[in-house]
Amino acid sequence: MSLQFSDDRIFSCGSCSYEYRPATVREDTPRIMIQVQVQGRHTIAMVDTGGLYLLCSPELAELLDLDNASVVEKDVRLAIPRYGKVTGNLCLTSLALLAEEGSGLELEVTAFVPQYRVSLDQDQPPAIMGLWRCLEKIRFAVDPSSDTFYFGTLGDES
Amino acid sequence: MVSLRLASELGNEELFARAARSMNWARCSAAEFVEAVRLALKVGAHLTALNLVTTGVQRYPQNSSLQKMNRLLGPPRVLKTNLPPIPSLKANREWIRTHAVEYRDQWVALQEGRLIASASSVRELKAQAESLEGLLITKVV
Repeated sequence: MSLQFSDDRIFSCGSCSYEYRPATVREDTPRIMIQVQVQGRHTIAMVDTGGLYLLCSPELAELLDLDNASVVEKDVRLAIPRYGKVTGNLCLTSLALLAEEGSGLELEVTAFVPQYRVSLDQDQPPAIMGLWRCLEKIRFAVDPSSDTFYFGTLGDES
Repeated sequence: MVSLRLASELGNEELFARAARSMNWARCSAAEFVEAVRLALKVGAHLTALNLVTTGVQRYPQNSSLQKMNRLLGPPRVLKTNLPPIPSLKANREWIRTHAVEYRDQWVALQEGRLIASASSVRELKAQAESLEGLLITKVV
């Protein structure tokens, strides 16, 4: 099922179910967790509209070899509420939002990869999708009655 | 640039943003813009970094470093649409829900709701599975 505006313009092109649960074993606050593909690798990401970039865990970054991406800025500092000030690298990567109904889409987003594992709690979801430089150019909505995450492009308005 | 370098060394984001606002950027070279953006990112002034790269790339559109930075700090781009739906998302989700306690804190590799491998680290997971291609890789919480 897709969402539409009152003038029949398309709001979402696809949807998927999300898990509403803590992101790590050490937390007790539920978060919206959805399945995505980062650089073609299928994994689970947390939605964090207050966050910046696509925050990749050191494990995911190692799996994807993000440090050898073609566009990288090193020694970037980022204040992450759950972890404090962290130093890492910025790089471009692809992020695919996967649909169970309708169609998925793929974005080129900016990923932040912490340089040092000790900078972060050992527990971190594979990926955290922030708004800035990650989800900011798509529309998305949640329906808590069915734990459904809807998403779509801005279309001609982008 | 001295004030920017100093603010960056001090790790003072507010001081950096203030120094950047007070500078006369009309007289700065492309190299200075590149350095300023790097200093901004180093101190964590991401919005200032974006503003600097936007100004820099407008003044020096052919500069390859500024072009790369603009791509990095610029808005995300839609690469592909109309990707087909993936029915196996539900099966993976169900498996995680069913086995959350049993595999808590473990990295797992799933294929259409079936466990392919599990390990305490991604490195061990890679060693266990023949290939992680096409598999859902995640840590069970």
